Amino acid sequence: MQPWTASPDRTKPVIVTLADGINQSVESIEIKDSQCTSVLNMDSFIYPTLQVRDGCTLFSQHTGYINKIFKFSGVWYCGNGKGMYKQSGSAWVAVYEYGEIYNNRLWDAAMFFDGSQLYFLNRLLQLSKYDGTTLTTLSSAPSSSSFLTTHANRFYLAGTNDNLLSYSGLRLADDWTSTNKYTGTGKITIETADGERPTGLVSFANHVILFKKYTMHELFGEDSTNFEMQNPYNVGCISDRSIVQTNEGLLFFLASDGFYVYMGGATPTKVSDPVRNYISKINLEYAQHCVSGTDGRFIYLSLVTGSETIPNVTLKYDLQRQSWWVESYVATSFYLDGQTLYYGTAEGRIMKVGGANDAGVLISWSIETKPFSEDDETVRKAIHKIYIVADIEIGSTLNISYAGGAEGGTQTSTWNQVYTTSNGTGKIQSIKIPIIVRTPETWYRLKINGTGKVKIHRIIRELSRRGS
Amino acid sequence: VAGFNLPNVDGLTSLEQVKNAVGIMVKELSWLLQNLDTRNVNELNAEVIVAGSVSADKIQAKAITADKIDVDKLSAISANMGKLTSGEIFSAYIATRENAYPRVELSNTSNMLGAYKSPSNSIQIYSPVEKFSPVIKFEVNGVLCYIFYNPEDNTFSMTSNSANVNLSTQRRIQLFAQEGVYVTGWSSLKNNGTGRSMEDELQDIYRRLKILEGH
Repeated sequence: MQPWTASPDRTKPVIVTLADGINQSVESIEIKDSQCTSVLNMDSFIYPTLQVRDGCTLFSQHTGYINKIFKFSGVWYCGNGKGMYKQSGSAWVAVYEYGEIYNNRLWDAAMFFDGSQLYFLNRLLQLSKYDGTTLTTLSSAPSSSSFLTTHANRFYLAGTNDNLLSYSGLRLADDWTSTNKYTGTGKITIETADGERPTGLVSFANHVILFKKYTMHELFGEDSTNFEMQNPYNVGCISDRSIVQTNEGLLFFLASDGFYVYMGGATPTKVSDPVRNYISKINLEYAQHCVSGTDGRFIYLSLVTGSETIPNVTLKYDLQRQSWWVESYVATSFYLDGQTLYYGTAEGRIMKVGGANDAGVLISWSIETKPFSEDDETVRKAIHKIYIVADIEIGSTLNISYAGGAEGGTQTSTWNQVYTTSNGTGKIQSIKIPIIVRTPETWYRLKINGTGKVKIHRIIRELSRRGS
Repeated sequence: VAGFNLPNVDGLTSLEQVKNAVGIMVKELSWLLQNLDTRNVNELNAEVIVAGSVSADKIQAKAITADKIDVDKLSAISANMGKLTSGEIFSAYIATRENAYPRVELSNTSNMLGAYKSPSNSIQIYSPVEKFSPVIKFEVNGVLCYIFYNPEDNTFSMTSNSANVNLSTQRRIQLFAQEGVYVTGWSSLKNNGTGRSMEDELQDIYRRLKILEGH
């Protein structure tokens, strides 16, 4: 940011990029110029250029609220409120199916270590295994288990009805009764002063981590002779489905007060302050439906907010830039297949991320900047011209609006649209936009919106100060 | 076994990563220090083992060989010896009771087998005379009786200086001897009912024969 100079003409160009994401952690006038107060369908994938996010295509159409998608032995599986299904051609065949739909059947699944068996459960179904053909119920496994994970050649189960972490025999996922102290099964009781029950289970950084609402517990050891549960941090998790690991060795999870990242050693760090307005609206009664996924660059977080009972908003966190973005679609489950992210929806669709539009529909996008003051809040300024260096794809549109005042465009004044183009060139161009501002203001906000793929490299505002 | 995973510190580029690596090491090592086992220790000597702290369950069954045991007397092992099924015992005093009666004992000093009702009431098998067979000696309050074999005169003897010798049965006593049955004299062979000796009876017969001759 350049300070005002002592030049007689009292004008200066101000150049900003806009790819640092939304920030709701402080008042809008305090955030960085490159951050924004509102954004939709844009991201920082090619930082510092701001771009419209990738589109998606319909991969498969099923039914219901898809809360689990994954592949087993090269075959797609998905779970919804009625059952667990596998893809057969373009159809979905029931692996396990109920007679009625109940959206709280949240599926969890894991494979045996050699990939030969699939094990799955929901909060009501007894642990079951499936080899691709035959379904077997493991009646000796702890009943009413909700969470399943594998670690060091054992399967681990936990449920929301008791404080037990159960582990299988060594490399025997069907064995929940043997008693050999080295290779046998067992249960570990994890009780806490708050009386909370388990809310999540994951294997991370060579340890099984059991989450409760306000605490996390790491399991050390390998068998009954040296198993020891440690309670390293008073940070909990409200949704097992929100726990996601990245290739960089980071573990993200949703706590009651925010989205945290844990590296295995230091205290988990909250990263969700920039989207605190979304976090504060989480419907804790249905928080177990919140879900996360990753494509390697971004963490996707779908929240259940307000009075909703299933996810109703999807946010995106840039692992490299630590910036947050808001999506227009709502994903209810995620699966990364190679480098391609798939997500399920509440309408039974499984979408494949990629492409320039959302299943043939141009992506509507927008961004609203902070109120710019140019580091001088003692004088009123007027915008003379705006140059926007952007790459607007053919068929895409771009509009620019401005509003005066710290809360311009929201309460005190309306957006004044000063530029629109209905069809881009597909090339990087510097668009000069003359603006006549008759009433100078201390702060100005800009709004840029449109449809279709657009890359915004930077904006150059030419300002003059008045009344100083 | 106590496996643990310390972080790879190569390529740490930020203070956050260093803090995290230190945190992992602290947690892993804290746990490890309470769970050290054979996989974590290359070699130990016994100097650090607290005296008397090795309990029986820590010793592998049949692992202690005899040459590792230094016991002068088996009495140091205070236990019921249970059932011995084979082997040999030499030069040992063996008794069914210690300093109490009745008891049976094998003496390692007199090489004697004895059964004692009391100190003065016993049966002993011992060898007081070299030329004799082992002697069975009966003793009650100083009265002694013996059973033995003397090869010098080829005599099997049941003797006592002061005790009667009684052979009795409800049936009959049979004496078979190819070379005859010897008694001290006919005066010593007496009728238990009348007290008369064989000599008395023979003299009565002799007198009656004399009278008959006079007629």
